[in-house]
Amino acid sequence: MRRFLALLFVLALAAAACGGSPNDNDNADTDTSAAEAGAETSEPGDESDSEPDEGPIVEDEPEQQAESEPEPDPNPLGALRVPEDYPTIQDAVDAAVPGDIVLIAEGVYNESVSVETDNIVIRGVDRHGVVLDGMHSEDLANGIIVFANGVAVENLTVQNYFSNGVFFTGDYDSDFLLEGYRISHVTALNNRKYGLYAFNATYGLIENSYAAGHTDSGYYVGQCQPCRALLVNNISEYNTLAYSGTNAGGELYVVNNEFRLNRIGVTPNTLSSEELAPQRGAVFAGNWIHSNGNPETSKGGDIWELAYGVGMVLPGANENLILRNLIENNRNGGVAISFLPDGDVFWQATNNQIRENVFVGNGIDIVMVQQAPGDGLGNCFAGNDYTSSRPADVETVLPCDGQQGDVSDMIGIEFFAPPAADENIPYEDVASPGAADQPGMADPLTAPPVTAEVIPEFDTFDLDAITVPTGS
Amino acid sequence: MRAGLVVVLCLASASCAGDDPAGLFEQSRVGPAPIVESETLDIDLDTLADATAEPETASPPAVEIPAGALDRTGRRAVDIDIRDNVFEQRVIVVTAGTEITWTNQGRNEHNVRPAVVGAFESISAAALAVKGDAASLVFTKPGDYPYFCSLHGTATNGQTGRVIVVSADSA
Repeated sequence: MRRFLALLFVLALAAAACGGSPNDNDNADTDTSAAEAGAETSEPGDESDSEPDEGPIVEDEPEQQAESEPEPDPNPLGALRVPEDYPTIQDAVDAAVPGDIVLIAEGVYNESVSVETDNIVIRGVDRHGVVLDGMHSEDLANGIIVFANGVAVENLTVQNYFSNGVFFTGDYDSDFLLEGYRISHVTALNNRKYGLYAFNATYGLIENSYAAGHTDSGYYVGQCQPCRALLVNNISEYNTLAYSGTNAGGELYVVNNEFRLNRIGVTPNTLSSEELAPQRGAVFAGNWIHSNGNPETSKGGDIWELAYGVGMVLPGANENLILRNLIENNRNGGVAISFLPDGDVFWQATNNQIRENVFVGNGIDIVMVQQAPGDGLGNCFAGNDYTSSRPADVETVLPCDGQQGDVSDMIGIEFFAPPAADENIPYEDVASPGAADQPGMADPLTAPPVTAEVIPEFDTFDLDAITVPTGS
Repeated sequence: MRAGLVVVLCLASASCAGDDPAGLFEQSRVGPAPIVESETLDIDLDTLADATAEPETASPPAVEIPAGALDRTGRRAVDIDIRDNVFEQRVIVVTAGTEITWTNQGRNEHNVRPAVVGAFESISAAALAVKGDAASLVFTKPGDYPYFCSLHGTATNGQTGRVIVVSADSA
């Protein structure tokens, strides 16, 4: 019996040896073959192919299939990745050369990023998951400040900065006019001054972005003439001002945005605090300007508090076109055209056209605010759907075509009446109810980077295609 | 106008602590190139940093007065107006001991920070928050003192300025 068992044992060993070595050789060959030829795994010495029932053949196939699949490229864009390649956003930006993309992984970054390289793209992999947070520190003044041309910032959140969220700036004093900028799918929250800001800059696009909780404006374009900029499909809410544009105009199109629930709505204006006064030549079209006069906001400077609850106010603004907007439910007024005292200077508002807008449920739909009776200063109104105005029947008194009449029935500065003792909510605590709903950009991991050297959206913009929004 | 804040400038030495414990302004320089020049400032910040770190007994480095600098030497007090976003008297030359007052004439708040960390005491945004706010510094040591508003610029870009201090003998 023992001999029989021993013989069985020996035979078993022999069978294992005979079956194993050919398989080992096949595996080695297959590994090489997979490396050399990719998916194909057939081997001339692999007799197992002709004998599908043999165990080793079955064992080999899954391994051959796994090895044949190419590894996915972890960096298809060739991006400078944060933190995979660079520990900080600033490090990546400093290493970038024109044409590069800095791609930021999800996380919270307590950085203030300064950009001095032309034509780069800074992108978050997830609009809500990539957060630049300034912690309200004066040492982190801006989320991203750009001193270069052609830079694009997209698909991320900037919040809690001591000054501004994203800031593109030229330098008038040294004749540096920043040219080419883009902000897309960016969320700006609770920054102390401006959310998204372009200053002394031209040829820009701000789109599909969201701003809330700022003590000045959610969106600000200042000191440019011509600005050559397009602000489109943005939302601004719970700010002191929805949009402000000091001394900014000339091919400046603010279109198809929603400006809601701010303290004051939209205000192109003139101030001597910046160059290129007076403001002139902007277009505001197709916007839904509604429900402004929201007390759950932060109070700004005294001058703006006077315009509390007005959907659109034009203090010292000139030659603007207000076209096909839906202006509704603004607490104190729909559109107000007004002078502006500014220290030793007194700015008039002249030659603005208010055309084809729809007004619903405002305190007073259309208002001319004047210091004393006088002419209409070239301001005119035509084709609007409105209920109330001062002067009464404003389109008859101040038509865009024909002789203008007597504007003695106007309102003085008393129109601007600040609300009674509304609480001032600190900007850090102001809500942003619409932030979470904002969509990110498509395909952030694979979409090719597009710098702001060329902006086709601006180049092909068609004002005639803009219509009055339907609102809610 | 709020009461001015007058700060006697401490000399650029180790005892004159900057307000940059996190070393952020080191990072705000353009790097890694050691020499940084700008159209307006036209200076080498690193050389300037080395110079300001030297003992007081050393002779101050010779400063070339750039073209376009405003000569305010011989005055006991000099004003710099701040608008949005610029120091209007951008490059000034003053005599040691001159009191310089920055006054905010803009709508935005601003601050004043030395381009070389520790070169002089900063003026915070709280001191220059609204139009009419003013704050002052007295520069006692001859030298070159570039500065910037960190809300609207960096040491070499955006809202920058420069104070060049000459000795009373050379004024």
